[in-house]
Amino acid sequence: MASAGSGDEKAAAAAMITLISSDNEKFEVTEATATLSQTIRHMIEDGCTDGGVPLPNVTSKILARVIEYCKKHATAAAGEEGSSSSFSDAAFLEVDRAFLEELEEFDDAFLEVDRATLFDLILAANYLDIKGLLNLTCQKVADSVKGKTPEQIREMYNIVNDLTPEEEAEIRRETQWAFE
Amino acid sequence: MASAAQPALPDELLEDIFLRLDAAADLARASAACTTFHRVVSARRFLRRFRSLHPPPILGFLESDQPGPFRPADPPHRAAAASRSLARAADFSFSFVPNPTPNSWNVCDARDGRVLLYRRTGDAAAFADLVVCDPLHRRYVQLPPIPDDLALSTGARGMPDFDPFFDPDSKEEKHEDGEEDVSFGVICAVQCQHKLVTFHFSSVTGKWLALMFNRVLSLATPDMDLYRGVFKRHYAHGCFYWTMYGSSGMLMQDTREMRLSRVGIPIATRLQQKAVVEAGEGRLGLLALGACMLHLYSKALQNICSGTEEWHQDRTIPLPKLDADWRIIGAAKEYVLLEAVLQDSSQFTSFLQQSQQIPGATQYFTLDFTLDLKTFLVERLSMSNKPIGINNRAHLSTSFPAPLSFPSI
Repeated sequence: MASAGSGDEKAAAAAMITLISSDNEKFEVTEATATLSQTIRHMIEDGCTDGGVPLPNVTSKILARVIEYCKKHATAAAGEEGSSSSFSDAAFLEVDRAFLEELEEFDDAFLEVDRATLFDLILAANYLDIKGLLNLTCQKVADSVKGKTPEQIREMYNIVNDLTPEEEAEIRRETQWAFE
Repeated sequence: MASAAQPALPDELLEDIFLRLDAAADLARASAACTTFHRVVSARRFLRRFRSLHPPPILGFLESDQPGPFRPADPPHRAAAASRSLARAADFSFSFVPNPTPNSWNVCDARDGRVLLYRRTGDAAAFADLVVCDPLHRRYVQLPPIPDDLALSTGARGMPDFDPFFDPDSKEEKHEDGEEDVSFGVICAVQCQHKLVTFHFSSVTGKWLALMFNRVLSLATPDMDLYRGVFKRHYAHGCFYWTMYGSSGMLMQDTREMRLSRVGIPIATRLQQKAVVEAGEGRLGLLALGACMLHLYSKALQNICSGTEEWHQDRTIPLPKLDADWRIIGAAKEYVLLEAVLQDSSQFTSFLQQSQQIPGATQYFTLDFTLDLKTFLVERLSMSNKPIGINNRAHLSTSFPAPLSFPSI
């Protein structure tokens, strides 16, 4: 039965949560989106989300990006849950494949950010305990380090070389094989 | 909260990132960027996690029965630099192991940075002395002798085919308290006139156990004693397999179910060199060397003894086109080691042209290759002017190069 017009059901499915960034900006998101964060999921379970969820470690700029990620991936998660009851296996696989491809494209585009934003996303994903986002961003940093020299790594991530010349010489001596 | 200067990520997140680096060289270079990175990468807890996620790279191989030398990987192999560094830093003459007679220690296996050595102690003792050593950190432990009563009870004494090796399934246990894990297992199998006996040593208990198999099944003839030294020992999925050139079967010794059985093998492989390997979950693989290619057969472990399931020919792996005698010289859990002895060394020069020129290349006529049992990639590991001895085995040396390794004993 197609019940697109049933307003009550819609409202129930789309319970809203308010997230408050460190710079006091408010974001209204669905519970499905918010609970991609294990941290927020636990707060909802404990019933401490009335009046909004303050996130003092996350700026509005980063929170907006995190929500963008969660919205996209929450839809994917909803599709998966639905599969067991309403989709036939074949139909689900078809939907699943198309969706996964789209999701991958989304993730690639999502990671096109500067290094500072990438680090902030890692910190936010860690604080909010969003496994998928943490995997995605950490892998991005790891991939960018592959095949690079220490100098290139420092330049890429704006790292000051605080090793003494003696320490650096010692490390270079021990790891000479990694530079040949 | 912009990350302006120093890496603004806490150590646990840096660890998470560094654990995703596959190559040891990437990790080593990252550690040279700043004190924070160096501290994170050098921490033993981190290195233990890294080692549990990434298999140690192949750094070369050692020949059985030789007190050396270590054969490092040669360029353009990706581990060539690390391998040369290991060759410089480690002592593959094992001079740190007490050695009353020069060169009396012989190599019998290598695994995870450890080398297993044996020494004949004269006719009086039933068994040779065994030492497990770490040539990079110059440490060793002498294994207690197999107790005489244990040896006597099995009737295994003074056997010529003493064949000890590291238990490939002995798992490194995880220690959360920061204690080093240095446990290992050693197995040796001995063929006696009417028995097969296997001895198992665990560094955790410090004790030997003996398993005895009384029922001897014949391969070609009922008298196994005639064939001492003719059988080739293989070990996969916790079982021994004994193959013999020309035979259409092999012996399987299941040490868990205490069972000794005969397993038929594809008739085409009867006269071919073979290696018994693990072919994925629940399947046994049989790798046979044909003309310039390897054939991989497999069979479900549960049907291994029944004739109802035929061996399935999984794939054919082409070998580099060389006018050479190919040999299977070693097999481990993850890799098989192959050697090609060239008929004519000028081929080698043309073979190399694809990759690089090596001065004096014409003097090399032996090439060693690894076959990765997961990817089935055949890669050249090293070259030399001397093939390994006939009937000798080679043992791949896999370990993390310093400073990413710590003592394995």
